[in-house]
Amino acid sequence: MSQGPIVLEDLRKSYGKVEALRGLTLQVSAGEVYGFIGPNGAGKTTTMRILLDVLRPSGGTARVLGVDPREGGADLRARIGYLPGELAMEERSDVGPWLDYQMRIHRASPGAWRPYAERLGLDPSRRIRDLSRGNKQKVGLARAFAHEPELLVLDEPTGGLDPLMQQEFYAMVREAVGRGQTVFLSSHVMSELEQVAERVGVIWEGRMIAEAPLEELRGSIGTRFTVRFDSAVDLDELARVSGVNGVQQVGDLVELDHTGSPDALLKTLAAHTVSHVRAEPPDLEDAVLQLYRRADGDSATGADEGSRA
Amino acid sequence: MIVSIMLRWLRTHRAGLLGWSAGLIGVTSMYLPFYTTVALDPELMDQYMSALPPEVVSAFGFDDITSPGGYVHSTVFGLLGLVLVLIAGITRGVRAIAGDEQTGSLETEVTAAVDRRDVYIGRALGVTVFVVILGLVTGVATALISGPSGLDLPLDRVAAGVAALTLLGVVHALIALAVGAATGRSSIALGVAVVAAVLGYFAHNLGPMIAEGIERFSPFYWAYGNRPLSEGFDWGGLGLLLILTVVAFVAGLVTFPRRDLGV
Repeated sequence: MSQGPIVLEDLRKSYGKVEALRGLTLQVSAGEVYGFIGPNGAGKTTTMRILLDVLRPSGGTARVLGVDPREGGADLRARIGYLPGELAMEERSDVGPWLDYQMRIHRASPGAWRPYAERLGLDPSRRIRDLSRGNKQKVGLARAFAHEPELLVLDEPTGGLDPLMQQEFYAMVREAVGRGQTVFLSSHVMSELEQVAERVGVIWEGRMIAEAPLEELRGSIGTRFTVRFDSAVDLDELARVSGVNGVQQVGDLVELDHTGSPDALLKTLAAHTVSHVRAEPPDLEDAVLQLYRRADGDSATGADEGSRA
Repeated sequence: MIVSIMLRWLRTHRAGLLGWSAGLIGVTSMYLPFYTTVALDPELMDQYMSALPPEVVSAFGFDDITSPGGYVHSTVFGLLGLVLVLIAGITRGVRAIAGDEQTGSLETEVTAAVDRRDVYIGRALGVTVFVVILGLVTGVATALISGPSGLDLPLDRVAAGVAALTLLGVVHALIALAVGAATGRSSIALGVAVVAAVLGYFAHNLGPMIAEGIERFSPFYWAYGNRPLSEGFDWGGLGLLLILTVVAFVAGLVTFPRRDLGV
């Protein structure tokens, strides 16, 4: 197949005057785990609902498994496993019968959900109403995975899961990819994607502001140096050193955000008396926050600039 | 797939179905046995009625309370039983699409391998069957109590009354369903269906006093204008009810697949 399982071009969606998506373009390739990250309200859920034909785009095009979701209908959705972001189920039903019904309307055999429920430690005899948020999420995950669809669309899949179950979920994702399935999952927390996503797209106010393999994204933010000098130093001088993106004084420490080769910085530091230095690996959460801030500065008039170098 | 969706919907509403059935059996078995006292002295009852202002008598459909058919109509089919069937039908119709859309539970069905049209048809059938069962329960209870209460209503008259009651309930339930399916708003669906029912009810019972012929536009007149419990099946009226039911059903069928779902 020349086209990836998800191809979105200049996708737009407005609700009245509110623009939820402002020209979103992204491609997910077959067999990859694509992490879709953005703050709440950035348009992640709207995008996923367009893929499932719950919402219709106001402009642009969407292709899912080579088909326009508006045309694909039931046959297309039989090939997708979807976990809604705000999962709501028939509260009065028991887990088992509800999942049996879900299998029927997903064209799977009635018991197909059982292995997943077992893995996730889900008791099928419980009433859905009595389940905790995490257990409800397990029901939703079993529903999405059980028919082994070509494409999994998972909206905030780890929400409510304890760390142990999160690991189990990551294992399920890896196995799915091993079978050739494609996974498109969203989160507003980078740490949840870090473990499984191969590529990450960052969405901000309905637009993609960055898209890169995880490693590249990690490299783009570089390293944070924390340095204590024995005597006062000229911060501006440090800021001029090549590779330094920001400098700030925190108490008696100086923090430097740095990308690229550290050679020039180290040589500059060597001219001073340094009593402490720490170089931290890039924190992706920070990286994404920086991306948001940059995007915010670009789109807005820079209202809260200066709060951070 | 449509059948699966319908059965699933009915399954989740079986507790409600039992509750409403019990209510209808209760209403029927409490009112109808009192006919023995009415039948003992029909003139006394007529005097009571003539003491009331004629508008009140009409508004509640008490015009013919001393005949068996008139009594069953005035107490159950035209009053409390009717109110129960309408409330049950309208609330089911409101919830079947718009209500579940607002709680979010519709999302797990429309995102599965079913067409949105099938979701609508399956749930519309579920609502219809729900109301039909309530109508049949009322009919069976009426038929069983009819003899011991001295009503001795012929079965075909009971069947005619059940057909009218049921279709009246289905019409309003499907109006609620269709408006909910078209708008996704349960408040609008409930409002439209209730206003339709209230206007229809009073146009039938009080309309002629306000404007000549206005009752002919009321589904309640189509159902009960020719007194099916006394006179038997009124095929013309039932036909009109059926047409309105189909119109409401199609209106939802056409609009529901076209819009965004606020799930």
